[in-house]
Amino acid sequence: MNKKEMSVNIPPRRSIIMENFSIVRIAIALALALSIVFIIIYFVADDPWLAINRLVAGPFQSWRSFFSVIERAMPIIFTGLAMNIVLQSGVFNIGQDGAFYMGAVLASVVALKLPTIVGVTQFVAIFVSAMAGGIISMLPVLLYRYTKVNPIVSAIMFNSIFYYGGAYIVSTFLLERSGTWGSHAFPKEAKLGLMIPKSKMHWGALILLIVYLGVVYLMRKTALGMKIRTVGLNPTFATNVGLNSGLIILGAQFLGGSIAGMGGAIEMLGMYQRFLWQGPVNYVWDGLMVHMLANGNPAFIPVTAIFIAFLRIGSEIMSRSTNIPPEVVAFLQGIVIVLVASSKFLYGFKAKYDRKISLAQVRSDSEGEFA
Amino acid sequence: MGVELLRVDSITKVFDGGIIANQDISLTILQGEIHGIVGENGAGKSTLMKILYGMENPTSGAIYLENERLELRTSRDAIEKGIGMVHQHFMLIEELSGWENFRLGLEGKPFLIHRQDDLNELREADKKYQLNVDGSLLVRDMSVGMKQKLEILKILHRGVKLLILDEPTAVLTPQETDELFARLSDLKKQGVTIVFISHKLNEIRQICDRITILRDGRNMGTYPVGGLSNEKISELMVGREVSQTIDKPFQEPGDVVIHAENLKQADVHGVEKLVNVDITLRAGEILGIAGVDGNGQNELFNVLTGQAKDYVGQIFFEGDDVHHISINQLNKLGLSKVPADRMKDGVCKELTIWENLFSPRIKNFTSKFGALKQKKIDEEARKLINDFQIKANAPSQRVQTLSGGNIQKVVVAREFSTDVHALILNEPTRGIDVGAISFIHQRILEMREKGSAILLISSDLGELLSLSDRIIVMYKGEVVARFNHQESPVTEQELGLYMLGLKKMESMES
Repeated sequence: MNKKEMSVNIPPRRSIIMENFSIVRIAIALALALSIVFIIIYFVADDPWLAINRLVAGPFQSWRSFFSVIERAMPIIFTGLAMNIVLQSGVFNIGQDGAFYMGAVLASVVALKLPTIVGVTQFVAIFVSAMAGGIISMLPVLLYRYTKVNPIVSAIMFNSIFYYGGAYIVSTFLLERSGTWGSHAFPKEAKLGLMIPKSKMHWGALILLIVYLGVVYLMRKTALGMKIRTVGLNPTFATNVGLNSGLIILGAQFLGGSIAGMGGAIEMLGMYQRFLWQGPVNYVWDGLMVHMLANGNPAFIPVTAIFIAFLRIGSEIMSRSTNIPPEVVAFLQGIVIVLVASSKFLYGFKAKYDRKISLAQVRSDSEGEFA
Repeated sequence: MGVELLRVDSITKVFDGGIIANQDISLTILQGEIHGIVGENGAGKSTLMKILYGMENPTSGAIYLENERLELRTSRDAIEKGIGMVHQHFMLIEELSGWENFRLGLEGKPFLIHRQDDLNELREADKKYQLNVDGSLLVRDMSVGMKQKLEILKILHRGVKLLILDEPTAVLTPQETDELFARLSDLKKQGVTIVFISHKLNEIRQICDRITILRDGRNMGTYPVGGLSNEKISELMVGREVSQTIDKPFQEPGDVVIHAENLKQADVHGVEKLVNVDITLRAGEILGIAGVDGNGQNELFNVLTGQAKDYVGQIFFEGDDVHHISINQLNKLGLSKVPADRMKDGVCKELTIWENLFSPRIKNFTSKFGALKQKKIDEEARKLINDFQIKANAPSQRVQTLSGGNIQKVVVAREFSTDVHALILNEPTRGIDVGAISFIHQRILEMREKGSAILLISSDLGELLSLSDRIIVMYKGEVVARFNHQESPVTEQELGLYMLGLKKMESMES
């Protein structure tokens, strides 16, 4: 009897690796993809060790190249956070590209057309872009609600509308009539000043840090974040417990879009002398990728975005001194995404573990019944 | 008789995500018998049959047909080995004719289709098994009974030794059922072995030789059907004495909490789901709703809990018309509910226990600026976990890692722990373990004592009879009987007559 009572309270043994399997899985996918790329480089490169060395150590060569990793990562982090919020609310809203682009356009309008007052101009530019981005990001969901148009399709359409609409605004009101297509140069006082000398690191990085902490706090520690997750995970349950799903979803789209719009404004005023994006921007897939690599946890998004930016900068440095083109990193990204996205990758281990645990649990439950 | 045809050897099936459908099930099916498999919803009948038919792979265990071990990967394997199955929802292509469906998947057919050859083949088979299927009709023009017979013919023509019928009578009228049973007896005489799944005891009694009873994924034993009383079968199925007595003191009901008048609701096809339903629910009483599944109970639940607003008629909650009151406001006014589908509507399984417990009233746990008060949440969640005997490691454990009974306790803890004026329960104990059932029953009675008005929808008559003060019977969306169970108790048999629509009380207009 004593023995039995003892065994009742022993929960089935859980393993740390298996309980955090989704993270382990991503790490394995990354390692696998990296090793495949290394193998390819090994066979293709004239000097494989030099190539790999450049790819991995290149970004550490100088402060400049190190900061360029951060600079490259910033817009990806913005869209990654934006995608994180809209995906957690259960909507695959890729309208963030339109929001990002329009954010940059409107920031340029503010910088060029309004009187420049240091501090105020930047604030107005970022605020206007954030509002516009939020509204743009709500459009696919609103359209779905009233017309049942698939929001993925309409988001692609809206992206086109805002690229060309934005380009039209620049062409009509901001264009400098000179050799290449581009706006007039921004006044120096309207730009986001340098935060770290001898690099291109601007004060946008600080704004990003604040936004990042805000998103993490929102999703983890506030009732709104909890509601967004609930609506995204189980809409019928959310309705059942009295959440206003429609409003919560719209709110999430607005928040996501405003972060994307803000990202566009900060990228434009921080990194560029003038508006030069004649074609559409493509950050939304990067954002989706870093969201997936972070396992949907906004806290990890900067890490994964910096990782991706690191590989891209590394590959560019590599291509300058070897015969390997930088596109090899795109290849690597492809492998990682396929592995991470395929729910069956390494799925057997987890399923086996789950079966073991639940059988053990049933046994301990039924023992409890009789004890 | 007496020769073993199929042997199932300790089959266990655990689904991904850890739901255990079958646990160590062993059974033997004899040559030429009609073998009944009975059990409540969720007892694991269908999963076991899908394993036999190669649609699911068992986690462990083995299947032997005529002492040869079977490795079934697909249904095609199963048919080749001689096991065929007719599903509850037919696997027929409605737009094709009978012979085209019959021909699909048959081996050794020429590349070009010869209508007449195929039709003749069907007619020959039909003559052999005497099923009276007209193969020239389009499937969508066939009656439900004929569709089913076409399915049976399809399977038999492939030369199966074992025919599995998954709840075949669920979709049939009584006449069609008689016809089917006559055909099945003929097939038995021709030497076909049949496995017959049902939860209707009368049918089992009528047609089966032996039965196997499943409960919670476990085999409760195989018995010759003659040697078992209905009471014994249901006891084995449900796991407790059906007419279990619960100690319930007499209690005078209080003020009216919910009053519904002339409720009508129709589905998208215009079929009436609720017909002139009147309900008055008073504080401190339990009103039971009896009825065969699908006679308007779910619609009633959705309408009363504010989830469906497309009804005609009026519902008053403590005197206020609820038509324009949101679910959230109803929550605040003191309406609690336990939905029937706990995994879909009752909990959000990916979220933690505390998130599930507090999501309707998360405002109480947030600061002015919307930040969560983690400490208060943790304390209260631990208190509830303790009070409601939820077996869990911590409030931050995900709900999907709990067992069914504990998940239901999470729902009950959430809904019972607020200031409850009215409590609407839909199948509160379906498919959970005995311990959890009696715990939840106890809690329901406590809520009655505290003065909540309780509406209990249940397909478990034992539960209804032991808990309810009054009982209403619904048939085809209509209230056909009202009993004051507290004053003059009714019996299961009496309820049954009304549930099946055989009787209707005269004074039901009011």
